[in-house]
Amino acid sequence: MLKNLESKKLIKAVTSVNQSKRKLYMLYNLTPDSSITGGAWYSADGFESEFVDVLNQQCYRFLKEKADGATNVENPIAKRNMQYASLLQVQKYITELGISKVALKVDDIEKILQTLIYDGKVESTIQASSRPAAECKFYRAVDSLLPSTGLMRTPCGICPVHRNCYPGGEVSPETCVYMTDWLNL
Amino acid sequence: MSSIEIDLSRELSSELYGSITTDTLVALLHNGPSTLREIIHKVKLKPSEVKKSLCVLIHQHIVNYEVNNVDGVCRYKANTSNVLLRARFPRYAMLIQRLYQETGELIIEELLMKGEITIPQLINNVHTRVVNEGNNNDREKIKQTLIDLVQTHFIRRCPYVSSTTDVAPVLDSQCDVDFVVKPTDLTPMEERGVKRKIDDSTDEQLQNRVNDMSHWYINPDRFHQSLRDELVVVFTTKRYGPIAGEIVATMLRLSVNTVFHAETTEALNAARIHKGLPTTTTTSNLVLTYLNMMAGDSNAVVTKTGEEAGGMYAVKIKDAVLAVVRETLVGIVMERFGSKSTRLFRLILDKGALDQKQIEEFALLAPKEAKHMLYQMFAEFYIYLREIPRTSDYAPNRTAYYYAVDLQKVARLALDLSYKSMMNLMLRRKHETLENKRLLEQSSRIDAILEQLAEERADQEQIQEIRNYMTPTEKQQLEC
Repeated sequence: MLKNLESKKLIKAVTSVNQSKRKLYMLYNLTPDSSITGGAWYSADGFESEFVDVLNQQCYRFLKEKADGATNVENPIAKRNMQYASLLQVQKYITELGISKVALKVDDIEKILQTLIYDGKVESTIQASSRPAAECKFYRAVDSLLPSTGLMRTPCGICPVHRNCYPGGEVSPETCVYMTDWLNL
Repeated sequence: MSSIEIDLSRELSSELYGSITTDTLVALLHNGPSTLREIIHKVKLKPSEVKKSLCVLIHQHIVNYEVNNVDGVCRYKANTSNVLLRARFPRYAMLIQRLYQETGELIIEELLMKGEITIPQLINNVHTRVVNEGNNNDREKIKQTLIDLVQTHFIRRCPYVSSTTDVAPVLDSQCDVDFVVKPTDLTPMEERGVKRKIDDSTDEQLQNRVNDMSHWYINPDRFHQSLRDELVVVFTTKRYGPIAGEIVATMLRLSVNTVFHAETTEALNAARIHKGLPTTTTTSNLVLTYLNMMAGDSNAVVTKTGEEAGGMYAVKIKDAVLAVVRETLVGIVMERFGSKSTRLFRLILDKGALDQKQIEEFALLAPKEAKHMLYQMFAEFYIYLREIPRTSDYAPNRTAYYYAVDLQKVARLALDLSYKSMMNLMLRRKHETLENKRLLEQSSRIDAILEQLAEERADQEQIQEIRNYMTPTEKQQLEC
């Protein structure tokens, strides 16, 4: 019966993002809500991490090129302003690149840029103005703020068994394999 | 005072002060404030040895004594933080060398080794060291550098004995002369009537005369303030550029005598900062532009406090240090768990508390991967779970579990790990030295014989034979 309706193009099958084995059916001319399809990041197979990664890298490259292009300006505030790109500009660039099959909205790009902020590669500010929201948020590529701490340059900082390590035990500083490697002994 | 700190204190103290002093110190650290008899009872040493070690420890400002008001008994107490400062001594010396060159460094080294010392003795010792190294340095320069160090609060006066009770001497200190060198400190009191230079006297006579003079010791807080300021400047430079770093360094230097725990520096206006800058290539306008830019930034280091005199600016030290702490901890998470985990960590730090679903939504990572990383960080206590029950019985499927980060806890973890790592490296070094003791001794014996032979101009053959006592593999091991 369902197959009949499907062939008459009245309903269609939709895969849910929860990856349930159940098929869901919907009227043909309606688009499923993003809570079922998962939005732009989910395809038929599931979460597309490669797609997200590629978008990530492209956005970062765009912002980095913009930042590098502004090195010769004397006035620091002007220099900074040149390094900023608005949300709208980034979205335009990404759609021009055409790497995405699905049309990416401003909200999606904003989410990508937010993950770049959490990676520590990008910082953002908001300039108050009466223009639409997409033109008020600005992003800029930054370097990492501090060199790695001394603790992380010793083997103990990255050791997976540091809680079991004590002198005279099975795992001990005297017999530590990581330290032997590190000291080239 | 975690057990790791006590262990590290034991290692540091045994390297610097020997095993007897270390045993006393460890007993004190384990027991808390105790009387002399309790210490003697706990430690398996003779009373005279315990007394001597306590003297050394008090002299080095590791142990303090206190007379209890209630039972009138004198108790000694030690703190691990005082012992752990010893690990930073090389950094203090380097800092002073940068600011006051070699003379300053020698003075500070002398003070760090001796603990407390009077000024004439200090000048004498430094002068002897300088002469032994072959440089001719006159006492005036040493004295002047010393006075500079006191005025900038790097060295301070010890509390003096104001009276003696049956139980213990009572110490007192006058705050206003803590950082002032009076003429009585430079020459002992009896000498001021007689014109006789100190360098003419013998050591013993000097000892007798300086016994009633005031002692001086280093002021660790001031060193920490300098190191902290340097860190803030590095952070600013990375964020805003070298000129901004210089501006912030000048602001910190101009307000250097504020209290150590101040949250902000004093407010300074742009013209004064411009005058204080070391290089003159920056114009006053540029300084103002930078200050405005930094003040306008959301997570800023500099803030504008008012409009008088064209704008007053202050450095927000507390905020800057917090930002440095955050970045350092995020760096540790990055090195330990990878960049994707860092994304999750920063996300949770930023938002406060997040559900598993929300994390997946914001971080845009594959759900399985995100889960795996969250659990890894949770297992090592970098993030913790907050349970918020929806019903009055704490049923698991009706409680919300939120992931959150407690920065204090993570900072404490990182500190403990650093101490443990320091101790492990020290133990490993001791172990390697012991293991290769035989080789090292053999090598030094051979070197001595070779030298002797070279003096006697022996045959090349003999020399070759002796060199061959050490096999090539041993030589390779030694080089490692």
